[in-house]
Amino acid sequence: MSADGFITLKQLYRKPVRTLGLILLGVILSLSIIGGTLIISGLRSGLDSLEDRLGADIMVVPVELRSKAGFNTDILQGNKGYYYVERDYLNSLYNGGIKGIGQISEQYYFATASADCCTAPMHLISYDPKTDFTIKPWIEVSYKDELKDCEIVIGYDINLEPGDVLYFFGVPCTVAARMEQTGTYLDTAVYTTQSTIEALIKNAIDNNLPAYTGTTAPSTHVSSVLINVADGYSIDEVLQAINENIDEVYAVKSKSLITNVAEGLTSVSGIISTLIIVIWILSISVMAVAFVMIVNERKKEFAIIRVTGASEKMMQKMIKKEAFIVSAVGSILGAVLGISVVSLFSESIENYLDLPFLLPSPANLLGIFILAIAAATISGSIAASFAVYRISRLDPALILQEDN
Amino acid sequence: MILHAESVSKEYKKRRKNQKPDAALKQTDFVLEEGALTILRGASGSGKTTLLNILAGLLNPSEGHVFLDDTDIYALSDEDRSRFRNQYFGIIPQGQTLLSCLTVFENVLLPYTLYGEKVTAEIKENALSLLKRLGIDDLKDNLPSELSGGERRRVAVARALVKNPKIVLADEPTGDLDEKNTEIILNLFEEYKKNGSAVLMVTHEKDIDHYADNLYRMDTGEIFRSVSLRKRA
Repeated sequence: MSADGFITLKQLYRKPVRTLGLILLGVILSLSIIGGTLIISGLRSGLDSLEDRLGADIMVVPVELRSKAGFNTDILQGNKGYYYVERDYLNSLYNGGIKGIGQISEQYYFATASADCCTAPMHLISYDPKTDFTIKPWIEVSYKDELKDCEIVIGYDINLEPGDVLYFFGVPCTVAARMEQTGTYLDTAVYTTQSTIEALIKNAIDNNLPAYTGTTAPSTHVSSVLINVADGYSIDEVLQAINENIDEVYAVKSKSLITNVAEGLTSVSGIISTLIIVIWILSISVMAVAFVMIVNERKKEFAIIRVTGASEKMMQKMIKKEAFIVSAVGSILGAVLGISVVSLFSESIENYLDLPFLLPSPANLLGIFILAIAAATISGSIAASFAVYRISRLDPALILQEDN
Repeated sequence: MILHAESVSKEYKKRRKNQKPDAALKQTDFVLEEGALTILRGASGSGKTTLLNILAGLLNPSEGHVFLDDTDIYALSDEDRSRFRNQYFGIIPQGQTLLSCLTVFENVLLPYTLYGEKVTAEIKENALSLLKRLGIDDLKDNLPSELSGGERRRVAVARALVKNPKIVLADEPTGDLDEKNTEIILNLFEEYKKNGSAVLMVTHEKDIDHYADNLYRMDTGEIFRSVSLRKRA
C-alpha cells in the first residue's frame, strides 16, 4: 500500500467520529439521489404501465361519476365506488346508432363482502372473454389458457399462489394465475369472467346470504364500457356522439385520464428534482467546509509529513483519497438504504401520492444504484477540491514556526 | 556530504505596500560539514529556525542558493526536493511533531513508509534499538496522545535518525528534556556525526556548547561564528 493510502486509512480509523460524520454526509447525498430517482422513475413506470393497460381509446362510465370529486382517479382505480348503468341505455353503442365503434367490451366491478361467506373483501373486475381486448392480453402474460368458470386471476399484491382457493359468497374460486406487477390499482384487484360473477350472485341469492346486498348483475348492468374507435373515425367525433346521445353515461378519452395523472407526476417529479438539487448543493457545501476544516485542523500534521519528505502532490492525494473513501462508503450505504426504503414503502408512496408506482426492473435498478454511487462519490471528490487547493497553499515552514 | 548555503536571505513582505519588508535572515553564507556537529544559538526571533528551514529545503530563500554537494536543492522540482529531503535529511522540528493517528513505532518508521519502502526486519530492529536508547521502547504501540511532552520529543528524534540521514537538522531538540535525556540525545548526535553525518542543532542552551565542533550565534538575522569550547575526544 502506498504511504498516502496508509496514512489516510489510519486517519479514518483513528478518528472515528470525524470519519462517521463525513460518511453520513455521503449517505445523505447518495440517499437523496437514489431515493428521488427511484421515486420519479417508479412513478413514470407506473404511469407507462397504466397507459399500456388501459388499452382503449374511450372509456364510458355511469354519468354519476362525472360529478364526483377525484373523477379521474376513481375511473383509473376501477370505479371502486361501484356505480352502474343499465345495459338498455347502451343499445345505440351496439346497434350502429352511434357510428365509429370498432372494438367494444364491458366490465363489471364487484365487491366481495367482509363476512363468513367470503375469504376476504376484494375488488373483482369481470370481463366478457368474447369481446375483451384490455384485460385478456395482460392475463395472458401470466396465464395462457382461457379462464374457466370459478377461476380467478389475482393481482400482484395479493399474497396467494396458483391453486389456492378463495370463497366468494360461498362459491369456491381457484386462483389460476397471478398477474405481473403494474404499480397500479390492478395489483390489488381480482379478475374473472362475467359468468363467474353471475354464479356468485346466483349462489348468494339462492342461499339468501345476508352479506349480499347487491341489486345489479352483469346480465343487466355494466360498470364501464371500453371502446376502440373504428378506422376512419376520430376519437373526439365518437366521444362527442356518445355524450350527446346517451344521457346516462359519460364518455372520456383514456389518454386524457393519463394526461391528468401525468400532470400530477410532472409536478411531483419537479418537487423531488428540486429537493435532490437542494440536498445535493447543501451536502456538497457542508462536505467542502468539512474538508477545509479538516485541512486547517491538521495543517501541522500535514507540515510534519512534508518535513519528513512528502511532496505537495502526495498531500493532495491524501486528501483526495480520504474524500474518495468516505464518499464511496457513504454512497454505497446510502444507495442500499435508499433502495431498501423505497422498496419497503413503495405501497405507501403510491397511496400517499395517489399515483401509480412501479419499481424499476432489477437491471434498471442496478443501473440507478451504480449511477447514484458514482454521482455521490464524484460529488464528494468535488467537495474536497477546495481543500486540495488549500493544502497546496500550505507552507510547512511557516506553519511549524507559527505553532511555536 | 556538504550542505552549503550561498548568499541566502529571507524577507517577508508586509501587507501594506509602503512598509519595508521584514528581513528574517540577512544575506548569509553557511556550511554544514560532514562529520561535524554545529550548534547555532541565538535569541528568539533571531532567524535560527528560518535558516534551518531554508537549509532543509522547506522555505524558499528570497535570494541565494542551497547546495547539497553539487545539487542546488531549490532548483529541483517540489517532488524531487521532497524525495531528496526524505533520502538525505533527518529533521527535528520545534515543538510536538508527531502524527496523532500513528503509533510511536509507525511515527518512527514514517520516513520509510512515506515512499512505500519495504520495512525489513533490520530496519525495525534499528528503529527499536533507537527507541530503546531513548528509553521509550516500551511505548512503541502507544499513540502520541498517551505520551508526555518529553517522550514525544524523543520519538521525533528517533524518527529523524532512523534512516541514518546524511544531514541532521534539529530545532531545539532537547527543549522539553531533562539533563539525562538531553545527554542521551547529544550522545546520539555524536555517534551520527562520527558516522559521517553533518549535524546542525539550533538551541538556546548554553551549557552544551562543548559538544560543538562549530559554534554560531545569530542576532537579528545575521550569523556570527563563535569560538568552540571543545574539543572532546
